[in-house]
Amino acid sequence: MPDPMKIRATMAGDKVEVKVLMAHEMETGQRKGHPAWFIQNVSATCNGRTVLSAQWGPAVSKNPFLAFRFQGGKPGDKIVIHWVDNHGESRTDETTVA
Amino acid sequence: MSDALDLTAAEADARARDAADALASFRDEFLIPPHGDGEQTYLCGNSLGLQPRATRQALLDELDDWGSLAVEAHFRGRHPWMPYHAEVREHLAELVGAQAGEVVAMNSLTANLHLMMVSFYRPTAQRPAILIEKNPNMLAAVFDIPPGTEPALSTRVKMGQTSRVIALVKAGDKYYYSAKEVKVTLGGCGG
Repeated sequence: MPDPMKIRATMAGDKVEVKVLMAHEMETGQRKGHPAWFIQNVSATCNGRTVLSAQWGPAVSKNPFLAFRFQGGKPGDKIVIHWVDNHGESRTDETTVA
Repeated sequence: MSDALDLTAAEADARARDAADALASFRDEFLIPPHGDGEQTYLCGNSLGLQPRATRQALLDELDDWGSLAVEAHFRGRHPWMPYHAEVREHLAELVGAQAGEVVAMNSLTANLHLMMVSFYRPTAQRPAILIEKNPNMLAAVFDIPPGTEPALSTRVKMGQTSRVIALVKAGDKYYYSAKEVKVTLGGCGG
């Protein structure tokens, strides 16, 4: 099981600012003896509503960082971040908007 | 010789068609600029056509209403200005081959296009992408941004060498991009 993500969701004016740090090797596949291993899909929901989704390649940094803002959230809302890598491994973590 | 004969035949044919044209009398409704002793052959129909003879009187009517009624001419003129679009609606519908309820007279073409865009153009989602030109896989990341989420993101990427980094955005059906050269130096933070 991959290590959990660190997620922070705070109000920034009338918007929710989300910062996520994921624990992943993000191997490019360019190094000898190290096949590509990277997060391919990321999605973020707020109380079940998708607020961001992404498709990544192996160029995204090791232990990827992601920051974004969205409207329509309030303190107490549940933020869920989900990722799946190219080995089919996945991780889902959540937090509430502070 | 045969060419000349054909031309004569063509002219006769054209004159016969003119004579049979049910709309021919409308020719007299326009002012045709002179050319030598005759009239110009005026073929410009896309921009400013010929001046209809009735235009002068129509403009004078409006000027008279303006003069005698001032702002009240919006409502009490012979052709009240306020509902002018409604007055011309039936005629425009006939002209464009539509039902009167499907036609509305508005501003100039430019202003109309702007209003149409403002009213109906609602991009539903944006798809920004990060491309690193000289990486083995040029496409580093693509994001789907639903309405309500800001199209401003940050993440970190790896670069094998100095390269242009391109941010590509799809908004509606169009793509926009911005590029910046990012230097990669061996051994750390130098120039």
